[in-house]
Amino acid sequence: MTSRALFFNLMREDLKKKIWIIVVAMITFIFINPVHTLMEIEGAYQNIYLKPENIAESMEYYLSGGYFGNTTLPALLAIVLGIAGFSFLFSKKKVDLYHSIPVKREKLFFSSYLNGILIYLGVYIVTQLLTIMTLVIQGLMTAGGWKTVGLTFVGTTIHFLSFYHVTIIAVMLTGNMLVCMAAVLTLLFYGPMTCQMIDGFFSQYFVTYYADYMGEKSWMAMSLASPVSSLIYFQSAANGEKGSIGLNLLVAFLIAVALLVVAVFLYKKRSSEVAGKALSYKVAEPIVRILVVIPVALLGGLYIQNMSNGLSGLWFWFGLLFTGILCHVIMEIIYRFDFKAGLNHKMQLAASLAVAALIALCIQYDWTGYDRYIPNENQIASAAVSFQSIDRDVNGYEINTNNDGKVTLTYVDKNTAVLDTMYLTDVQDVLALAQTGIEQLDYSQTNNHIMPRTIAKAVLVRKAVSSGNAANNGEKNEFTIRYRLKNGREITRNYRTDIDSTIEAMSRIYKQQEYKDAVFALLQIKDSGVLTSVCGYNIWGDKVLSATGSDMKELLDVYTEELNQLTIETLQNETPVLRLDSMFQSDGYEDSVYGYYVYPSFTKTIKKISELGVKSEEYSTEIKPEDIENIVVNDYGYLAALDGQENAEYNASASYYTENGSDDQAKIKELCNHIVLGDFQWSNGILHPVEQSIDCNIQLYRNSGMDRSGYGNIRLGEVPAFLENDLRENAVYY
Amino acid sequence: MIEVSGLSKNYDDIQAVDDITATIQEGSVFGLVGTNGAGKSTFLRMLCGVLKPAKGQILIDGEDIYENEEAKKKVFYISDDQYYFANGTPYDMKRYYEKVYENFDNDEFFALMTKFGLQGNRKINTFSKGMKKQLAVILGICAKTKYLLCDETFDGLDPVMRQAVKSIFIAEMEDRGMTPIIASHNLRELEDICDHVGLLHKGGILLSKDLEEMKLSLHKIQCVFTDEEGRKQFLETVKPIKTEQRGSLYTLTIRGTREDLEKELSSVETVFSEIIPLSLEEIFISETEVVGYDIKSLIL
Repeated sequence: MTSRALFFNLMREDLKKKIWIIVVAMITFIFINPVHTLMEIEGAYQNIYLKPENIAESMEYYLSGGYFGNTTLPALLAIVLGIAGFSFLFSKKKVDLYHSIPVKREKLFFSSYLNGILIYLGVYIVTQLLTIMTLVIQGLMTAGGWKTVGLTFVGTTIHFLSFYHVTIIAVMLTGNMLVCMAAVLTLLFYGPMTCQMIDGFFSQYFVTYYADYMGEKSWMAMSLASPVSSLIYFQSAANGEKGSIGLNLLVAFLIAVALLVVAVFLYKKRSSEVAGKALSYKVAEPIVRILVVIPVALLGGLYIQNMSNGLSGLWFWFGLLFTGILCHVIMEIIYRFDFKAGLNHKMQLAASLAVAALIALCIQYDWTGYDRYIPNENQIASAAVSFQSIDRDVNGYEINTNNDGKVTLTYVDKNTAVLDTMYLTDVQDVLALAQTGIEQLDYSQTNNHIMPRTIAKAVLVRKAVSSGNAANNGEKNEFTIRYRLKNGREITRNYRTDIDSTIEAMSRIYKQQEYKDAVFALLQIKDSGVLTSVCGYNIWGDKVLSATGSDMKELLDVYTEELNQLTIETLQNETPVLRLDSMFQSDGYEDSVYGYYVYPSFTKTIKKISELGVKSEEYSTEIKPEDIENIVVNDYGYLAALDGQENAEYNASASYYTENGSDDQAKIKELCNHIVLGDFQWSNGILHPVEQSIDCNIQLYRNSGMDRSGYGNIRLGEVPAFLENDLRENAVYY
Repeated sequence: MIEVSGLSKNYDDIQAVDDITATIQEGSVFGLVGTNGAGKSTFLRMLCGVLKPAKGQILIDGEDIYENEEAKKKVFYISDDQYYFANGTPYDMKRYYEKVYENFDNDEFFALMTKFGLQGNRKINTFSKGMKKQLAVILGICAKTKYLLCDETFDGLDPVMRQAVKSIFIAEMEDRGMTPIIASHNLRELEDICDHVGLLHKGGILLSKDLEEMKLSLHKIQCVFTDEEGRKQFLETVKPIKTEQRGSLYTLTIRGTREDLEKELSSVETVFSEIIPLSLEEIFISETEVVGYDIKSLIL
């Protein structure tokens, strides 16, 4: 018999043993895809909010990589096939048979390996064809759908191979089914778990840490951590949320090839006598144990610390020691299958715990100077700044072209979008902001739970935390700075300062066109052709304007011209009169580009709005006492803060009704002088500080047959004496 | 010919096989004897290429066996606990082996299945232990390999089947020069089939000799001397390796050919003398006691 004939015979014999996998996979895949798709089609036709022409587009999702049936199920199948194909290595009896016959190990390996791929391809292609047929018969298959099918097939296959190869490596490294499954989970989740641990530590102990979950580079870096994160990246990119599919697939493919080489190498080197043992390679035992114990100890410390309500960091160290020792003991027991072996290798345990402790101390006490980092100006190529305390109503958007050539908008995290797209070359003001941020680093405001050296210091820290909360009733100016260094590195830091010390630098940065282009997505969106109309809303939530076609274009042209001239001073001194929402279609539903305000100084825009028929009284922000029926003021901690009793539990409110007479009317009039209406105020609230712990609900008289009400806050430091007295009088303490 | 030189294998701290050197001639039956844990299975698993030796070399007709398809084609390994496919039948196993061993004899398979009374389409997991052993032997013989390695194969067979298998082995040896290598912890099992026997203990070979040679060169004599003088002279001349006395009856184990012994016996006056055959067990006991081992404690 020729070598090729023998190889195919081996494959055929191996396939006979995997019939059960084919049957189970086919049943599962058929149910999850063509059957479920049919159910979704029926549901779509019955959805009154979904337009018929959008149903085909929405069904494309079931062909895409974003649908778990197309990507997650094949990944699970890969794990099953990997274990089923090579678990014979766990049995001495089976090893004796397969390694005694006159067949080289490479042939044995590839006969089983290729069968796994053939089974996946057979099941996947058949079920995909059934899904496509279902859509074609219903007339719901679009041109874009075919493109999606191709892309999904490529992406799913590459990720199938990644999961498959990782599983085979896990089998090669172990000699027992239980240990193998633990190894599969470890190999798949070790990378993401370590990233989460690092993120957890940095979030907990570094005040300036910026968790860039949605940043493209962070997202891409995470995808390298394991096939699981790469698959999630692919699913997200396929859904149009985030990510570059091409790069992801290329990297995933190269990694899959490398993993296959490793798997073959391990099989060739694997001794037959390790069948039934925990690990196949003795040299791997300490390496695996140490690499697992260290992050588990650190995670355990973090987790138990967060579970506790204690002030000191003692719980962290307890958690580190407890989970580290427990992990070591469990792994030793698994290695030896002997409970008494749990405390073997005490020196390695001590070394692992020492390394974990060193890492923890390094982070807790910032020995690397993470929080105090600031580059030299000559190291910086460009920078980006995102101010989270202003223009808060503005969202981030991404303009995409889908497979049908249609332009769409998708939400993206605004912070991430700003940091990714802003390139400020004049960085002096940016560095000034950073310097101020470093000078005002305040650890007492965070929950870092660093263990004090003495009990006395623990008491002092507690006082600092509580007094800090009481002393600082003002909102902090939070901003994120990204430095793009000339050496290619990107470094991002988050700062919180008081507004007064940074307002000048903010103001200069705000005037730069690069800043505005990155923050106000409308500047790019308005000419994309995706917008269908612009609606205007006044401070009471009434829709006073709707412009389409050329009116919309002209309005947006003048508005964006004035938006480009907007300054911090305008935000500080003026209250917006109108909010413009630009409408677009998304997956058959109407959505809006929200949060763009018209200020009184936007004279051209206001003139245009008037030309479109909106009267000035329709967008007035004035609160007239004579229009008010009642004001109800609720206290959410104002009195408690005044009295220095933050933990006091009480209810306090004051109500003023016009119908009650002149006394209440005078008070209503007085309150109107100090109230800021909430609806348009929140977006730049830091520039208009108010008493956060007092809410005013304002009820106006019926106006044109409609009830009108609103809420507002009292400007900071302007709480009238009568209001304070009335709140005290009405307070009920528990 | 199988040549083994300086063969060693260890499992972590356990030395399973320690520096074994041996030659297994073609056309002879090699018996490998040893207690549990002596290293028999390890030795055989290295011989068939399942295990890689830590040291030393195994040559099958001049070729290294490990990961060598051509060398492995000459060897069939019957494990002490043979693996069969889950829910498989003898026919399923036959189909697998005939793809792997190109000389597999289909006709002989069916003939032997009939002879042994085994049903080809019955699930093997319903077979008894003995029936599974029989099937393993059938598959091994039908593979038509030059060397057949049997790890405690006879131990699960009833006496009738044991004889049947032995006769098949002999027929195969005569027809095509098959060379069986049989591992067992039972000397009596191997006595009537082996040509060459090796004794393994704690991973090393204590003894490796041709059975015929051993039997021809070692004899047991029972005699009663007429006088003391004659007895002393006889004992000084023949120098027995072992002497047992019960009253006047002397049982002597003596090296030498039968002719030499008969000549010596004729020169001394005895009331009664007889040369009786030694069993394999007795030969081993005698030989190993010479080197200082208490063989009775080593072998069943």
